[in-house]
Amino acid sequence: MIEKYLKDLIQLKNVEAVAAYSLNNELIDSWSDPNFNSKVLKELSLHYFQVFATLDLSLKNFQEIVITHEKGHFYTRILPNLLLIVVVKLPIEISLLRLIINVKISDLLKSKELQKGLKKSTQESKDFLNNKNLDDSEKEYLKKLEI
Amino acid sequence: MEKIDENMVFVLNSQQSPEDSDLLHLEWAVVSQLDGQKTVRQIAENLSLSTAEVEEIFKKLVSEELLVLVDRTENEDTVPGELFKLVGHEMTLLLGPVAGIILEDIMNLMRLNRESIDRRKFPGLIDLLTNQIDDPVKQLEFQRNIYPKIKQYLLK
Repeated sequence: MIEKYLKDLIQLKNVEAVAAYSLNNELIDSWSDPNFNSKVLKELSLHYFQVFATLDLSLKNFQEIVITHEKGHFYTRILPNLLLIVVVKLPIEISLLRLIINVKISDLLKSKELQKGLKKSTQESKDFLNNKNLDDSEKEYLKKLEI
Repeated sequence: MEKIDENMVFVLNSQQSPEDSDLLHLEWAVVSQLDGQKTVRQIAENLSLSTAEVEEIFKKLVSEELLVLVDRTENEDTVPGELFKLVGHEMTLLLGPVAGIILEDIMNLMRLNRESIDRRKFPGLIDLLTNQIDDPVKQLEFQRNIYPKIKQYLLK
C-alpha cells in the first residue's frame, strides 16, 4: 500500500522507513530499507500517539511533529484515521517530505486497501488519541504543566 | 574566500595536514566530519553549532588552507529558472496579481536567485508560498498543480 501510493516518498534517497498505523496503534502497512530495524517503528508510534493525545488535550491542533536527532529526523503526521511515520537520515529537506505527503496522501486515504485495513484494525476499538487513555496521574501531571 | 555558504562541501587538503595547525576541539570536530558529501549546514546540525559558529570555524580552516572546496556542477544543485516562472504562474492563478509581490518577498527572504534556484531550497520555497494561500483547498490545489512539473528536479 505504502509502496504503491507513496512511491515518490520511499524513492527519496535518505528515507529509511515509512509506516502507517491506525488510531488504535495497529500497523496498517510499512516499508523500510533492508538495513533498518523495523522494531523501532512500533515504539515510535506509541510515543507519538501519547504526544498527539497530550497536545489534543491541551487543545493544540498539531498535525505534524518532527524530531531531529544526530543522524536524521522522525517525521510524523496525524491524519483522520492514520498516524504516518517517516524515518529519514540526513541530508533531507522536511519541506520535500511534507510536499510529497500533501500531494500523494489523499490517494492512499481513499484507497480500498486502506479502508479494508482500517476496518479490520478498528474492530477492537481503542482510540489512542482519545484523552480517556490518559490515566489520572498523566492528567494531573498535564494540569500542573498548564500546557 | 569571503563567504561560507551553508550548502558548500569541503574535503581536507591533501597537501596540508591539520596536525600541523593548532586547532581547537570544535575545529577538530568539524574536520572529523568532512567526507566530501556533507554540506556546511549538515555538519553544523550534526555538531549542534550555530550558523555563525560553523561559518567562523570554516573560515579559519579555509584561511589556513586546510580545506578544499568540492566542485559540484551547477546542474546537479540547481533547478532551471523557468520553474520560477511556472511557480509564479500557478500562484497568480490562485491569488491574482498580488502573487508576484508575494513571490518576490519570499525569494528575497530566502535569498534565492531567480535565474537558478538551489534544488534543496526549492521545496522550502513551495512550502512558504503555500502558507501565503489562506484557503486550505487552494493550498492543496497549488501543490498538486506544481508537483508533477517540479518532481523530476526534486527526486534526484
